[in-house]
Formats: sequence, C-alpha cells, structure tokens
Amino acid sequence: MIRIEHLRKQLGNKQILSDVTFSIEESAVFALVGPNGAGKTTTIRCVTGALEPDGGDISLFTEKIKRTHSATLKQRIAVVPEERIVFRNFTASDYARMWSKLYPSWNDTVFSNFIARYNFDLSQKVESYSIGMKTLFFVGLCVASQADLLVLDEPTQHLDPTVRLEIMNMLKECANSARTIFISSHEIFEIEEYATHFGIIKEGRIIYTDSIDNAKETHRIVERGENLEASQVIGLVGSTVLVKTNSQIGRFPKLNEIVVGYLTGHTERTLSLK
Amino acid sequence: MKKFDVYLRKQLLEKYPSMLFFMVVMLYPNFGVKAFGSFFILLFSLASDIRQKRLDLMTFLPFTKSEIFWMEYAFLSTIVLTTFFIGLPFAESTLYSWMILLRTMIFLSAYFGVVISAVSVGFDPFGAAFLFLLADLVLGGLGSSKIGPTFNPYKLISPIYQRNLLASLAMALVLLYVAYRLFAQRGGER
Repeated sequence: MIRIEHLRKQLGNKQILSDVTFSIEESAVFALVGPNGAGKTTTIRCVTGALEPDGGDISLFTEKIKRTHSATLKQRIAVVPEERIVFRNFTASDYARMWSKLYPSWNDTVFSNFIARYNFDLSQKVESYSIGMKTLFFVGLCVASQADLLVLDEPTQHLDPTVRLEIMNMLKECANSARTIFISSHEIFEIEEYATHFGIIKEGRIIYTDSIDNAKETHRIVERGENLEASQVIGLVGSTVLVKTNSQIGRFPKLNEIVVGYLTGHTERTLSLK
Repeated sequence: MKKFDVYLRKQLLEKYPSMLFFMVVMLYPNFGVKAFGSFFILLFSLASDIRQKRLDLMTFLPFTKSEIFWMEYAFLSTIVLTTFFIGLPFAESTLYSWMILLRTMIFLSAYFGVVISAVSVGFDPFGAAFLFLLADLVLGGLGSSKIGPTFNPYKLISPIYQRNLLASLAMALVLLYVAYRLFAQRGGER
C-alpha cells in the first residue's frame, strides 16, 4: 500500500529527514510517533505530495512516485493537517461542497451523519470554530471523502475524552472497510487503542517499525540487575530496561514503554553510522 | 473544468475583500491603471498564500502544484479579461482598446512569472515584486528604444514600457515558463 524507502528532505539549511523507511499495509492503522521536530509532519507532507523529497522512494497503492503526485493519485488521499489553518471565509458548507467536488467517492450521507452527530453549524465559518472543533470537522471531511488513504496529523489533539474514543473507533471502522490510516501523534498512550502498526521517528530517521503485537511479543521489560543474556538492550524506561529478546524474561511491555525505550536508547546512534 | 470551478470559487471567496478595490480600478480602460490593479491583485493572490505559509491548504487537497500554478494564472487572467470586457462599452472601440488588453496580459504574465519564481527560490514575494517594479521602471526609463547611442534593449522587453510588443510578449512567456518550472519543483516549501 505505502512503501517509503530512505526518504531524505532538507528544508532551508536544516536536514529534516535523513533516512525514513517504513511500509504500511492495506487496512492497517499506522502511527508515526516521535518527539517534536523529529520529522513526523515533514514525512506526512512528503507522502501526501505537499513536499518533493530530495531523495529516496515513495510508492503509493503500488504506484512508484516519480517526481510529484499525479492529480488522480491525490484524489485517493485525504489529509487532516497538523496546523488547523483553514480558508478564512469558508463556511462548513463551503468546505463540504469543495471536498465533494474534489473527491470522486465523497459520501454525503456519512458527512451529514457526522455533522448531525457533533452538532456542527454548516453556515458558520470554520475559522471561528475552536481548535478542537476544527480537528473534528477535518476528521469528518476525511472520513466522508472515502479516500483510500487517510492521513491524519494529530487527529485527537484538543478533543475531549469521549469524542477521542469515538474518533478512534471511527478510524478503526475505516480501516476495517479496506482503507488505510496513517497517523502522526504524540499521544502514545491512546495509539495502543486503535493503531495496528507503528514507527518511531527520531532526528529524521525511523529507528524502529513493527506491528504493535509483534513489538510487544519480541520485547521485554526487565529490572536492572536481571540476567540479560541473549537479549539486546534497547534503552531505559524509568528504573527498568527495555530489551529485545525471545527469552521468557521480565514482563511484556506496553507500547509507550517500547517507544520510550527506543527514544532513550543509544542503539540507534550506532545504526545511524552504518 | 470542475477543478477550476472549485479553485475559482475558493479564490473569489477568500480574496474578494482585498481584491475588490483593485478590480473596480481595473475597469478603467487605460494600460497604466490596469497594470496598477493587476500588480496588486497579483500580490493578494497565490503570492500572498505562499507568503503566509498557507499553500499547504491547497497542496493537501487533490491539486498538484502544476495545477495550482496554471489555475492561479487562469484566475488572474479571468479578472483581467472580465474587467476589460465590462469596461469595454465605456471605452472607444478601437484597436487601441484591444492593445490595452494585450499589454495588460503581457504585464500580468511577466510579473506573475517574476513573483512566483522569486518565492520559489525563497525570496519574499512582496519584496521581490516591488524590487522588480522599481528595477523595471528605472532600467526601462533609461535611454531610447531606437538604434543609436542611447539605445536601451531592455526598453523593448520591459513589461511596463513594452516598446516592442512581440519581444515583451516573448519575454513574458519565458518568465512564465521559468516560474512554472521552479514552482512545480520547489514552490512554497518551508
């Protein structure tokens, strides 16, 4: 579905992406996690065709992108951007009209249900919505677009807990109906609830990517001083250690512990010099 | 056409408050006045979106950069044409009136090319536009367009002076093409 290989991107004098490699299968919910400035949004902008990479390969829907995304390809991708900047004079209804003309599979019923569920005023300017409402509105547009790939940058940011849960379920339903979800998020606790795969990005490189289930199976949290034979030490998680092993030691980690372990670990430093 | 409709609607909804005054000004059938209006409309259009880092609003939608570039050019040309035809009944219907339209289109194409090229290589579009305007006025104002000791070839291709229509048209088309190539590759990156 999506294959990114050795993606590189420099903006100004800053190398934002130096080696981004991961793949996403159809119907997967893939979460890209990492600290601020790690390159999550730049990766999204390259995948969606908003930026042209300096190097590396991007394949979408088995089509290898030569230089830029074609218009037809872009019709299969719907995006919730990180900065919720909107067209200043557009009402919700203007937005819906625009998206319905641009996305061939647009579903009016899905959009109407969404609008009714969250009580949106279609005549109100989207600019005047709160940031949480803007996020929610864009998620609604994305879901109604029926695009094959939904790319959502921080889709649950500024939403209240109930709505977050509903959005997570909605995204899971989208994935179940053969659509692919690509999310970037800081919310490592909630990602576990709805993502199936994840990638950890740090300093412009993917340092680990796997399915959540497999990552949990192949890692353990052990106490310091425990026998770590036949284990690869990944990093510290508070007072414990994250290791990669097939041995039955310690306990299974939570997703957030795997993420923290890789982000605090030093193994990726060695990898980067290879 | 469907996409252009969407783009046209989007630009009109977003830009009409800042463009309205200049659109009214452009109704007056005079090249200088129309060039003045075109210059400012140009600044409030795509150049302004790029300057305010709002280009992603379009590139995240199913628009390619090539489409954005040509639709924007078509949008600006539509304004020039519309204001020309609305103003036409109030002008003398001579060849001179049609020359005004042609000269305005040359001016628009050249300045659109310069502004979009400048922003694509990282310059501020407003700064670039005013700098080019100043350079165009000064360089084009020197010497003469006739062969002689004071001959100034720039006068022939200057988007403001346009002493030779064909040469200035060719120059405008070159600038437009360069802008297209630059914008399609790196336009509006941040």
